[in-house]
Amino acid sequence: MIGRHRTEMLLACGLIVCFAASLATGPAGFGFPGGADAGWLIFSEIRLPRAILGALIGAALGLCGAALQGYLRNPLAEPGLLGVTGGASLGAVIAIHSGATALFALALPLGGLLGAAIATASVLLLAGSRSGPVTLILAGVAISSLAGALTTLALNLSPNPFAAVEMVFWLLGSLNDRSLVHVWIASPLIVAGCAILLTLRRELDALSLGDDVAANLGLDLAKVRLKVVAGTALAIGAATSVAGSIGFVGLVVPHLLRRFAENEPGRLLVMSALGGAILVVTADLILRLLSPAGDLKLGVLTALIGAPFFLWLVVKTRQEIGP
Amino acid sequence: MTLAASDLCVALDNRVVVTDVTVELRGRELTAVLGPNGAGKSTFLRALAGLLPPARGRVTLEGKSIGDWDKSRLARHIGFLPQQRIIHWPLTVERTVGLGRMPYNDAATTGRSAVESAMTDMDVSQFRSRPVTDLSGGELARVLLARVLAQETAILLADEPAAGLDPAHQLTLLNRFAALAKSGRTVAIAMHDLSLAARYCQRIILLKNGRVLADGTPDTVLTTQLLRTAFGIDAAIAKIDGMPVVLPVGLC
Repeated sequence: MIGRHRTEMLLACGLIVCFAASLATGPAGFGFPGGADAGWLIFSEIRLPRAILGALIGAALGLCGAALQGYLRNPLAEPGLLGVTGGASLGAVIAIHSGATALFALALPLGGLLGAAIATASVLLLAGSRSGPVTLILAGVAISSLAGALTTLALNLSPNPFAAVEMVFWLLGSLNDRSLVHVWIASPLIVAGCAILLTLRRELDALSLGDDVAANLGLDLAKVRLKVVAGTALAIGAATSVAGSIGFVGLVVPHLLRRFAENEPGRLLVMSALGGAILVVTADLILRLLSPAGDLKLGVLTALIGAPFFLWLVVKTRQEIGP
Repeated sequence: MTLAASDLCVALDNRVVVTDVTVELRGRELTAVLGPNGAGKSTFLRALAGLLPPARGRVTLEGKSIGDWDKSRLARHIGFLPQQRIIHWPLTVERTVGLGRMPYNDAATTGRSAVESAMTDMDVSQFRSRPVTDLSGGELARVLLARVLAQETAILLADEPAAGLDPAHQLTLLNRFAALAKSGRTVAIAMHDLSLAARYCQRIILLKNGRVLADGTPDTVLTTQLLRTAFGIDAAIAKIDGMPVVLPVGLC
């Protein structure tokens, strides 16, 4: 039992270490310097929200990536494929563009959530009730493209350069200046989304043998599809709403861990959630130390990690299948 | 268990593929579904398994419409092996066969022995740890068959299960199906080998253009006239060592 779950246990231990390091380390140094009051303030207002959000968002990205790769049976699937990330980004950008964020600070995450909800409903409506994975991908890509076009339109028509900069910086993805309020907004939705996806372990394994076999094994394919979309929408919608768009985690982490899961899509879910959490918490910790002023954004760092991974993937695939 | 289709019509992409089929599959019977390419064999079997909704007519299991069955319970009664050997991820052989126990939630005890028995029957135990994507076509066919055998259903529907198997494994497979039927199961297989159908099956359903051209024992269905009508071939029908042999000798 322990042998089979050794990777999960190692990842869980790794996450605990990274989480503790994130709580104990920052631009102010290791530990909590500056006296008890200042130390508590740094811990509760800066480090704790960032560590919790980093772990939750990373887990959501890793888990959704693994779930979508398993459901769509496509190793290139990632959480943004269903249009949720694009919708949440558009909602947040509209909140900045309209000036709502100047009146009400939480307009940004709430706008993101609204955008994610509208995008999800549109994808489901567009794909139809009986569609398969391919139609779902097409609908997701279409809504994602539309949301991307409207986001660039909002940037193009931004009321002033400061608003444009704010939008761009938000789109790059970051955990800077996030508070426990953001944790309270995002965590119930992320936890609910992840819980839904974690119920799909056996279903994703069965889908490995195709839709007919999965249905013959007792699966309700429409219910599975709805759970995948709902779980992804809740987790990624909430994650993007509070932290912006953080790419590559949902694609890279399941790839890296697949062989440790013996290629079982169901087993990969928990591993990818833990791996995603480790990656985002660690990346955020590195950023805090390298760029204390927050000039370098989290989404940029994950992209810098992700792009070389893709290059490595191309080289590896070429070696495996020949010229 | 009795699986029946009455006035069954099935459409794919608004094209009617199976038309007015009325049959009843019974226990203790190994039935071959024969017919030329495009006759509707696969669609017929998928509809019988509850994987395609009828455009008209109905499919019933024990008198109850198949769409009204709880999906998990139905999965414990009907096992289906599709023609396409789809493998999306390189699962191990053991895990692939183990998926057959999914409707039961019994991985620990009964499930374990059912999986072992199915792997032994299909002669795949020796490569249980290998990824299924590394197997040859015939080996993969046997693994997927073992998966459906591990499901231990009273009704087994298999779409061209012998395709790609060497002669020894074809005989092993047909012997296994015959034994299952003899033990009381209902077994129906779509196939193209007329001699194996004549030798092993108690009943043959001959389809052409989605309709039942003939339904009966091998002696009554595998006649030169019906084979000419169904396949457009001239066939020699003989017996060697008491076993029927149907040999296509030329096109009409």
